[in-house]
Amino acid sequence: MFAIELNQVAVRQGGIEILAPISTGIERGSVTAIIGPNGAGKTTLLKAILGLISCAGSIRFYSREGKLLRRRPVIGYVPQRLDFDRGLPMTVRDLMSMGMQRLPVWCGISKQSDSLARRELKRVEAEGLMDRPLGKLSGGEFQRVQLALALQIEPDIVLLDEPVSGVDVAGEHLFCDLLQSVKDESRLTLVMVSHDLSVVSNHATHAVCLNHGLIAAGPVSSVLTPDVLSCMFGPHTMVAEVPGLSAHVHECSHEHHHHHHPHP
Amino acid sequence: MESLVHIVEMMGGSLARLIPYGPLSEHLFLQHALLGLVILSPLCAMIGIQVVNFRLAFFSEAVGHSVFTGIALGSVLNVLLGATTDSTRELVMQISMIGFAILVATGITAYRRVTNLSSDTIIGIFSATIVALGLAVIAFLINTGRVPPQGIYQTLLAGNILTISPAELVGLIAFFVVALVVEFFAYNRLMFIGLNPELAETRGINVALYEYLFSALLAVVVMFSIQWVGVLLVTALLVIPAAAARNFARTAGAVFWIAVVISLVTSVGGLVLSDLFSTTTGATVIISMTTVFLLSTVYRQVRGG
Repeated sequence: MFAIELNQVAVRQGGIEILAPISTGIERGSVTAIIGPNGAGKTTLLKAILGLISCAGSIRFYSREGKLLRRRPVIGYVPQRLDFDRGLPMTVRDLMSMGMQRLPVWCGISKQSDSLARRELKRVEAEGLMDRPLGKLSGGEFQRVQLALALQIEPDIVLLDEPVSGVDVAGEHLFCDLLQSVKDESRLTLVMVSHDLSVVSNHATHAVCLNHGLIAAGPVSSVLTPDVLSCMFGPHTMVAEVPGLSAHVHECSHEHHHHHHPHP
Repeated sequence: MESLVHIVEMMGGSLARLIPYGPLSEHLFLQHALLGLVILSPLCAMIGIQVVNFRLAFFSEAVGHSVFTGIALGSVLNVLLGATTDSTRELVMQISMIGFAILVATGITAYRRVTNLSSDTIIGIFSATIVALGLAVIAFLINTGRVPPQGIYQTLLAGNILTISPAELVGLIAFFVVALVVEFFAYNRLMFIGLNPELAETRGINVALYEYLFSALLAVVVMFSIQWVGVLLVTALLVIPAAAARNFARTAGAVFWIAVVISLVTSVGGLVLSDLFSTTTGATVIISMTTVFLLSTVYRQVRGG
C-alpha cells in the first residue's frame, strides 16, 4: 500500500530540467531513502512532495486506510542543517512553543504548550534540552529538536533532508535508532534524503535511486546492486559488510569506464 | 477631531508629570514630543527585532529613501488637487509618503520573491532609482515655480520630533493600535519564518502573506520615524535596541521586552538630554542607544558566548 504515489513528476527551473519525469511509490510504513549523487535531484524531489516547488505530473497521497486524499496532508519536515542565526536568543522551549501557541512568546508561554513541548522532546530523548539556547546545541541535538518540531503537528509522513550530515558516526546511529523507534511507535512513513550508503543499508527498508531521473526503486536489498550503484556514482562504488543485503557489492570491473562518471 | 486632540494633549501632560524634568511641564511642544517618543519607540523596537531577524536593515534604509519620491509625489498631488489650506496639504503629503513607502516595500518584497538576484543588489537598484526619481521631480517643481524652494530636505535628513502636531499624534496612536494587533497575532509566525521560511511553509503558514504584511508595517513605521530622526538615522532606531537586546537576553520573550525598555528609556532620556544641551533630539537618542549597545556588547563578552 502506498502512502505517496508519484506519477511522471518532473521539475524544471529556468528552462533546465532538474528532475526528469519519475514515477514511483513510497510504501506506507516504510523507511524510504532517496539516494543519488550530488545534483541528482534528491532535495528537489523532497521539496516537490512538500509542495514547496511546483512540478509537472501528479503526486497523490493516501490515508492510513488507503484512501486517496484530496489534499496534501500535513507532512513533518526536517530540513537539512537548518541554516539559522546562531546568535538568536531563543531556547528550545521558545522554538517548540512558537509552533504550538498563537499567543506571542512575549506574552509568556502557556502551560499547555510548555507541557506539549516537554512531551514531544521526551519522544526524541531531548527533554533535558528545554532551556538550552538553539545556538548552543550540537548537530545531533539540533536534529533531535528538529524532529520533535516535525512530530508536533502529528504527521503521518515525515520527510528528512540529509538528517545525519554534520553529525558524527555515533550520533548518526543514535539518531537513526531513534527515528526507528519513533516510527514504530507512531506508525509513520519516513522518507529521507541521504548520500550515506551505510546509513541507507543499515536503516532504510526501501530506496529510490536518482540520477536526474529514476534509476531504480524498491526494497533496499533488491535495489542496491552493483549496476544501480555504478549508474549513480560511477564504477568502483562499494558497500562492504552490509548486514541483510543479499548481494554484497564490491568493486565493479568496468575496465573501459574508468573515466566515465555521470556528471550532475 | 478636536476632542481627540484634547485627549492627546492630556496624555502628553500626564506623561510629563511622570518624568522629573521641569521644562517638560512648561512646554507643550516637549509634551507632544514626549508622547510621540513613548508611542514610537516601543513600535520601533518591536519591528526592529524582526528587521534584525530577517536581516532587513538595508531594506529599511531603501524604504526610508522612498520618502524623497513620496514628498515629490505629494507636491505633485497638491498642485493637481489645488489644495489650499495647510492642513489639507499636510494630509496629502502624509498619505502620499506612507502610501508610496508601502508600495516600495511590497514592491521590493515581490521582486525578491520572483527573481533569484541577490537581495542587496535588488534593494540597491530600487533605492537609487527611487531617490533619483524623487530628486528629479522635486527639482522640476521648484525650477518651474510650482512649489516654493523651501528647506524640505533638511527636515527629511535630520527629522524633528519637536514639531510633531497633535493631529499627527492621533494618527500615530491609531497606527500603534493596528500594529500592536498585527504583531500580537503574527509575532510567532514571523519568528518562525525568520528561522526557516520553507519549514514555516510546510506548517501551513502563508509565508508570502506575512512577508508582505510585515514589509507594509515596516514601511509605515519607517515613515513615522523619519519625521522624528530623519532619513539618515532611521535604520539605527530600528536596529540598535534589537541588537542590544540580543546581547542581554537568553529567551525570545526577553528579547522583546528588553528591546522595548531600551528603546523607551534611551528615547525619553535622549529628549531630556537634547533639551539640556541644545542638541538635535534624534541624534541624541541614537547616541544614547549606541551607548547602551556598547554596554550590552561588554556584558555579552563578560557573560561569555
